[in-house]
Amino acid sequence: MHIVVCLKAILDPELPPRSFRIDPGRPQPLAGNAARVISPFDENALELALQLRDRGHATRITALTLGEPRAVEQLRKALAVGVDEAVLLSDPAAGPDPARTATLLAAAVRRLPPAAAVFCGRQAGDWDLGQVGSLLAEALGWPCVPFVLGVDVAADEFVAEREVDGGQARVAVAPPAVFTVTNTDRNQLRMPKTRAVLAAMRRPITQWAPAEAGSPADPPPRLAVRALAPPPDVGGGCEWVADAATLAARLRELRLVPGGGGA
Amino acid sequence: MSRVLALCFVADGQLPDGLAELTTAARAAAALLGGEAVAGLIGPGADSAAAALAAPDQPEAAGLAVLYTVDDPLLSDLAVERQLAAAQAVCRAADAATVLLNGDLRGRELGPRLAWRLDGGLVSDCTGLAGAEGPRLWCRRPAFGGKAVAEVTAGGGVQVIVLRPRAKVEPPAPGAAAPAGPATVGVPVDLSGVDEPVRLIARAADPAGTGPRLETARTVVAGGRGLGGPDGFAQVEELAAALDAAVGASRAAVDAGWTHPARQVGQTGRVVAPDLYLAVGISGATQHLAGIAAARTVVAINTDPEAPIFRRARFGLVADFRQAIPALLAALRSSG
Repeated sequence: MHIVVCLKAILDPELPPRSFRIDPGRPQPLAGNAARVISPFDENALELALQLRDRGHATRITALTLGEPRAVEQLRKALAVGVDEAVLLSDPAAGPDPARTATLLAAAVRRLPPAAAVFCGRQAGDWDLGQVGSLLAEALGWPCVPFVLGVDVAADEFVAEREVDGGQARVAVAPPAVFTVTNTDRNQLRMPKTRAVLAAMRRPITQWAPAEAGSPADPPPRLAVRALAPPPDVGGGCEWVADAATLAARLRELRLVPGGGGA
Repeated sequence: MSRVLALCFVADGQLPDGLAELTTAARAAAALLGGEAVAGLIGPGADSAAAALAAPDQPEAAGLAVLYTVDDPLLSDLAVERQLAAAQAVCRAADAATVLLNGDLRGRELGPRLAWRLDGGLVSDCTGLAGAEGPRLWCRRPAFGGKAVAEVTAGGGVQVIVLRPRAKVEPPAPGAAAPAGPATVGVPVDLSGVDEPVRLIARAADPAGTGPRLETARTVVAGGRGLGGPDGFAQVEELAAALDAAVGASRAAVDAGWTHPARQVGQTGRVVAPDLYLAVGISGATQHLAGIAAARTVVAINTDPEAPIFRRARFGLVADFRQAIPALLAALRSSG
């Protein structure tokens, strides 16, 4: 079984707010020297694919990224943790356009050896749009299971645990299907061994221009961004309390906890 | 006239949570676009839910011109393909240029797929409307884990907007007298031929234990990485029980396996709007703050006075939770 994992290379979302700068000329962040990483939910997706291979269900995993040339750095990490092939679909950095991304990724998936599943994160850690996975399923004509916590294979079907409103559900779907993955303690990406990291530096990374991947002519943009600004200041100031007793008293005064006021 | 459709899902004839916010947002969007707002109710019992909604003096329905319904027992909870087919039919019947959905998990799941099938685009996680330019409606939404706010518009054809939970879109200025109660129109859709490739095997309610639900709780006590391990959560739970509060957690605590993902509060976890939010051992990453934007009073207990949570908090206690929580419990239990 071949699984494709879509990874996005993004600015490190752990960047503290004071280091986050917005380009004064256009609605994009300023990359500066900020570190670039694999989007965190995509790492959860990658871990689930690797676990399926550990359990003997998947025989081949391909990491696929639509991105700028420097995204090969993130694909090297994927190679270091054990994917069999890494493919970069070269794309100059552009504004967020999930429909276009999904269309291009779908064409690449169809160009690769037939896959039983595509795994990706439920949303990217930069624009947080949360659309590409679902749109990729639409573009491929495959079913989509979102908010996946875990996946297994039984009787030639995928069995997935997913979040639903009010709880969780276990669902089954025949391949091929798209799964968008959310974080749990059981899908944190494994650390690569140092030897694997070094070996990954020498592995070839397939690079395709979108046209080579057989994508259709550029689909029209379906999302436009006209402004990007820091959030409004919450302000107000913090009142420091010396101890728990003082805190309890203040909360009582405000009737936020039982026992306050002139009851 | 430009139509704005508020689309919601009915189960067993019950109107969903968040309907008032959804219809308010639809009316606000309609006012900006110079159009009219309508609603669509999809699910088993949608007809009776619509009848209840169309009754006089129903504030949620005030200002809606039409209620469209697709009432079919085949629209079970996770019948996603059928829900999409029904939604497409309602959008066509309503001739809607703009469709609004609430941002529960169902809305976030269906929104992108509906937009694709309507040959349009999607704005997800919308927290407010930022004006209209002709037929284009601009929306505000958080990005970069809450470190920025973007103004975006989607479309080509239909614009689908998924509202962030708890987002309060400003209602339109009260204009002319609201039209009389909306007309109800059933939309015929043949769902019998719609396959559901994803099959439900089992469902479980949130295993977060007894106690108030996070999303609706008036008080939340949440724990983060500063708890150091799952045992710390026992103290958080004790404090929550004493305050009749729901228990929440930061993403770090969930990723470490100290508590269940259903307790995660934040951009991709639950969005909460309590009167009181007690953050224990939580540093205050922006994606966590995104989940508590609507919390009225935030209290932070943390050993690090530089933790970003203190910039959001109304009250700050720099202390180790192992001492602070028992002391707080003792102070709360002692007579006023």
